[in-house]
Amino acid sequence: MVHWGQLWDEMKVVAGMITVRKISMFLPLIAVPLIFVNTAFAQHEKYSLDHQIEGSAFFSRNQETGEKDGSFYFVSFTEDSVDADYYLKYKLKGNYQNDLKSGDWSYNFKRLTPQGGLSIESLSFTESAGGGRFKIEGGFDGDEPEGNWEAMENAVDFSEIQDTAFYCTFNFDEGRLQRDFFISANNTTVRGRLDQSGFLHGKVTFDIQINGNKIVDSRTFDHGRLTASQLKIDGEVIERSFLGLKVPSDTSSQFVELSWGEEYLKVMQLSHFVSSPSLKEFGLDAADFQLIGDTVLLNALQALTHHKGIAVWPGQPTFSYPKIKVVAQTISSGKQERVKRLVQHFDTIDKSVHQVLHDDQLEIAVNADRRIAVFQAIYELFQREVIPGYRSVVDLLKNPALRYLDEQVLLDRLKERKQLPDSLVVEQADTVVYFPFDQESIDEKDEIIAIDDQLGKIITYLESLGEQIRPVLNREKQRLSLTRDESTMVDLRDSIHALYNHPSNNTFQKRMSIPVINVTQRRFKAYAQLPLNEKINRLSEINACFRNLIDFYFLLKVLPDRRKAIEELYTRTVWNPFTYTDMEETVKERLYSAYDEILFPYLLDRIEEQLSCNNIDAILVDLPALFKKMEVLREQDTQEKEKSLRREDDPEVIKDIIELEVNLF
Amino acid sequence: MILFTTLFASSIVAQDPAVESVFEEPSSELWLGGYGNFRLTDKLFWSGEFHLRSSSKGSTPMVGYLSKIYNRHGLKYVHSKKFSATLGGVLRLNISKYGSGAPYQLIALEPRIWHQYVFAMPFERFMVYHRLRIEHRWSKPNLKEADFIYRNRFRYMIKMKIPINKKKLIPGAYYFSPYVELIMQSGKTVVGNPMEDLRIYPHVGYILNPRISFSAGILYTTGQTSVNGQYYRRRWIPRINTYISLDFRKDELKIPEINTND
Repeated sequence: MVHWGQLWDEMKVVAGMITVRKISMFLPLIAVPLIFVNTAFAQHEKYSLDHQIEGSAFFSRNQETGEKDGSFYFVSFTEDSVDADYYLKYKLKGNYQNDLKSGDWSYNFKRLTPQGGLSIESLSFTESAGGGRFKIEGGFDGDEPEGNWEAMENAVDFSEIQDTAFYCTFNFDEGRLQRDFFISANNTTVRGRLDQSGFLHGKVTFDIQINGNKIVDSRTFDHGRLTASQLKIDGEVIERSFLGLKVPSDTSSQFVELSWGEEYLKVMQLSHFVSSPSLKEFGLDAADFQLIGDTVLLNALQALTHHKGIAVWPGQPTFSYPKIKVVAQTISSGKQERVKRLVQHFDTIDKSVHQVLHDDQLEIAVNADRRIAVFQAIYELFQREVIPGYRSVVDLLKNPALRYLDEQVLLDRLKERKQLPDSLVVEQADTVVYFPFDQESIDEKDEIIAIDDQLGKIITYLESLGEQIRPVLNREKQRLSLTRDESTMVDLRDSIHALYNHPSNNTFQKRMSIPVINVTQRRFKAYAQLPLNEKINRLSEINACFRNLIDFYFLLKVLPDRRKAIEELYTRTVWNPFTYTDMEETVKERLYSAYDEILFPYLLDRIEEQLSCNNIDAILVDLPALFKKMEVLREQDTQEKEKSLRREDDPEVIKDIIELEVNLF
Repeated sequence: MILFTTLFASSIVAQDPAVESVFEEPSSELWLGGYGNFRLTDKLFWSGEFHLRSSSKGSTPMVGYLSKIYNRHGLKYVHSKKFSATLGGVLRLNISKYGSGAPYQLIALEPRIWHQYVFAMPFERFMVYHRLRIEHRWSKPNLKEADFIYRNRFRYMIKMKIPINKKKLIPGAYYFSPYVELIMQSGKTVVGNPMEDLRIYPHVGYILNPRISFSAGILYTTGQTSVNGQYYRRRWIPRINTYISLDFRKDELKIPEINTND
């Protein structure tokens, strides 16, 4: 008989033992079989996040259509390849409906390392962990983002969340970014609002903390049109402008939509100017915070879809970004051509200046001739005073974001800042060079053509300067080169002496050592007696000769091996049926003898007699040519040649018979 | 060896122990030989020998008359560098010392079938060879009315080749070759004379190149006469030989050489 009361008590005891935590440990075990139970076509397969993170995915497909349908679960657990103390876990959860992402989705990344000692809970060990976590939570409807989305990054210590380094929240409706958004990242918070079309609408505020200063950058939009902006640092209003940014009127339909992206940032970089002198009082530079707020917003938007460069969501959907309205200008092909030519001219000057100022020989020659020093000073002046100004202009003109801005306003600003010089004065010792820049012509002509004319004049001037200095410079360079090459020549001569005087068992090296050293000494002495101009002409030739003599040493070194190789090539092992032993015999004996007893000795005699810098090239070719010829003849039918070689001992005739092409004979 | 020992032992048992052996006065001959080994394939050689043998006649020693023209040919199978087997035929022409006048016949043919097995034993500085040769011969005296007699010969030879001026038997090497051969015979007509010949032939040779060698030496030979086994014939025979080895294969087949069994 069942005692229901006792049974109930026992159930309560068991229930007390099963904590929520323990149940959670079994959830994956329970969840996975459920997937299989609930669908007729469940799958478990290898899956990777953006082809980078390998793991396992559990999902189901509709049995009829083969489309993904139902829950999706991906997990990857690995050791951190950078720091083996850490473990990485990637988890992706969500739902599919007819192969489209639908309902709630979440991405969860943890990078944790064990912390503290082990503890026993029930019948398991548990261990605390520290590190970090990043997660994204949001919804999809028909593969498009929908509803509230959040992304956050937390620091974890002893399994507790300690700090939130990053947090953002956005809202989507029918796949479009709408309504309020909020971002908190490091020392920056951004809040704002979008209208139903995804245009910024109302006030967007960037609160930035830098060096203890509180910067509040607020911009007011009317359905994407920037209508007002204010910059405050520690409560003080600072002068700031969006220079050249053309905002359409509220009634105009002549505008383009500019999304918050890389191109938007380029526009901001060109136009966003903070020029208040008060900045210095705050110890700030405009560049420190110019793009911080804009970049934080862009990064937060990217954090909804990407983590550490990995596109998180299956199918890699594109999310819409906030938009603004600007007026864009059409750039004619003629203007494009002018800009292209201007850029080319600037690059020519830039390259020329860089080349001259990075010429090591010129650096040394400066000390040898005053004219070269003046030449270098002019180039340095160009690099310092001219190039940066024109570079700013060129960078501006070739920036694709310029089409959203008023080009003239930005150019005027560059001129106001005197980035283009009016004139150039070079004073070096008693030399004064004055190079006027025709500023008026810039004002009168088309801006780009005028600047290009200036660049053209600079090129002409630098070319003319180069022509004047070239003879002086070349002679100095040759002189420098001579010194260096002479040092090389001495080194080469010493190397030859060291090699050929070194005791060697190689009979060929021994035999050639005296002729080689004699040639080296003669050449060296003859060189010393040459006039300077002759030296310049002859030095490279002598160095080439000395290098060849060193090569000759190494050729002689391998000569025994080469001869042995030829001997082996012309030797055949024959088994003798009378002695039952192997015997070696020379094949093509007449040919081999002609080579071994006549040609090779003759060639060596010629080398010994005629060795000089004039024929060392030929020697280095002739010896290998003889071996090569013998290798080729071994494979050929040489019966006729061998007949001709009978009783022939004239090396010239033998050379002709075997068709050997050498220079020394 | 067992065969030779058995035959030799049985022949001794067959002798009357009271009768002493009688050694005849030695005669002299001169043998000029040409030996050829011509390679046909990797394993097969054509082996050929040609001898001109002269004997003493009257007061002329050694070269009194041309006594034998000897042709031996065979196909040699070289199993390895240490063993070969040869099978072939011999046609020896025995020439009458007394011409062709009755009852003599100037030339008597002596055909043979022969097969031999050579075992070569390489040592560091010399080679040792064992040769077993078996011949089936049909011979008859140079008499017009004579019939062929069938006999078998069982020959065992052991010899060495020891290079003198080189470490190996290579071109340019002179060598010394001690040589001993025992020839036993059997057949219906062999009664009391199973030991046909014992040949002791020390000689020297010269290897000109892998294809040509020469040798010269003096052969001392003794054996039971066919008429009476008590009597032992003795001969002193200077021998001069030439050895030729050619390779008839196509050039491209000459490498690698010989077999790879060892």
